[in-house]
Amino acid sequence: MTRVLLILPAYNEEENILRTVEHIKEARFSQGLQVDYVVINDGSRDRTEALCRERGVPCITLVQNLGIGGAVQTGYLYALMGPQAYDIAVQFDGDGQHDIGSLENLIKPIREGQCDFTVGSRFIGGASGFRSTALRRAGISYLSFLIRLVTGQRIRDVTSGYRAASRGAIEYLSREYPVDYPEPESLVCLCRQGFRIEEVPVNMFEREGGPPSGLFALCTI
Amino acid sequence: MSVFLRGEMIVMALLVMLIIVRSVNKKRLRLQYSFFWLLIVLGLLVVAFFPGVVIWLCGLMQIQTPSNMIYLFGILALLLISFYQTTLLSKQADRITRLTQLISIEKYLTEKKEGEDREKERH
Repeated sequence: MTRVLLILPAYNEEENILRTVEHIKEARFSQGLQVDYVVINDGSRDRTEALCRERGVPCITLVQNLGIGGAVQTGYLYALMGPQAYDIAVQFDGDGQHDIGSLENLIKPIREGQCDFTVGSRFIGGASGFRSTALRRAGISYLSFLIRLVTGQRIRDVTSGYRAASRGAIEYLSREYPVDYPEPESLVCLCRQGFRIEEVPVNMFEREGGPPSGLFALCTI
Repeated sequence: MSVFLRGEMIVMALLVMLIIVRSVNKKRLRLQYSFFWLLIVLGLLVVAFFPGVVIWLCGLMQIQTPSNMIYLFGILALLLISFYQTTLLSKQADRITRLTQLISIEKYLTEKKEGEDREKERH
């Protein structure tokens, strides 16, 4: 049995969070896979927390706003020290951008022991319908180039927030997780620590409702 | 260096020292952070009592007047303190983040357990 925890960071996502959770609940996974999820509500000022409470959605509300990095790290901490030990933790945006149907593909290399961390990519395999705007793609390839310079590894969708971590990577990330631009920076950190990273094609959608917050706009470039 | 400037420095140094000692006594300032400020006081006193040191250093460093040199060192010391404070700030921000995370998780687990207990009582 492989236990998987989906970490859903959410900041003012009242329009999307329940729909995202519904998609996860409806999804059917293959045998030997237990998928739980937890919403990390990063001090939202809207009804995100109230909605989760009403529907009995597991939701950790941060007593102070920490930003996306601190929120995601809370999820990793929970995967480590919560009531249940998880083998794999997956970051999954609370705004409905990520396709739960790609989950098994994303965690497959980790389950098979081929790598420690996978990045869900819009840019390989042609699986994704949504590939962001040209300007953002230019920004991403620049970041990707920088990361290749620093680590020597080619990762194309470096700002992707759809990522999976093995037990070892969970332990590391719960100790140290960058705050400012967490996605690309954490890839560099993981690489330096010798974790094996792989890019896996996944499907992503455009955001469904509500304006992207400043926080998420930066991180989902 | 004028006697007036030296007098000023001594008065300033004593005033600063008084503030530091009082703050430590009243627990407004941790002892560990008071040393750096006391070092500055000490520097001021050395310069005030032995201006020869500064004049000699001025010649060495090609600085025109001793007062310029004192300003230079003053600014450098302040920069050093603010850099040190920024590192402290970063460390504390990290600690606050960790505390926030742990408190939030604990709070969630406690509330979840309470909810489950209430469910059990009902049945």
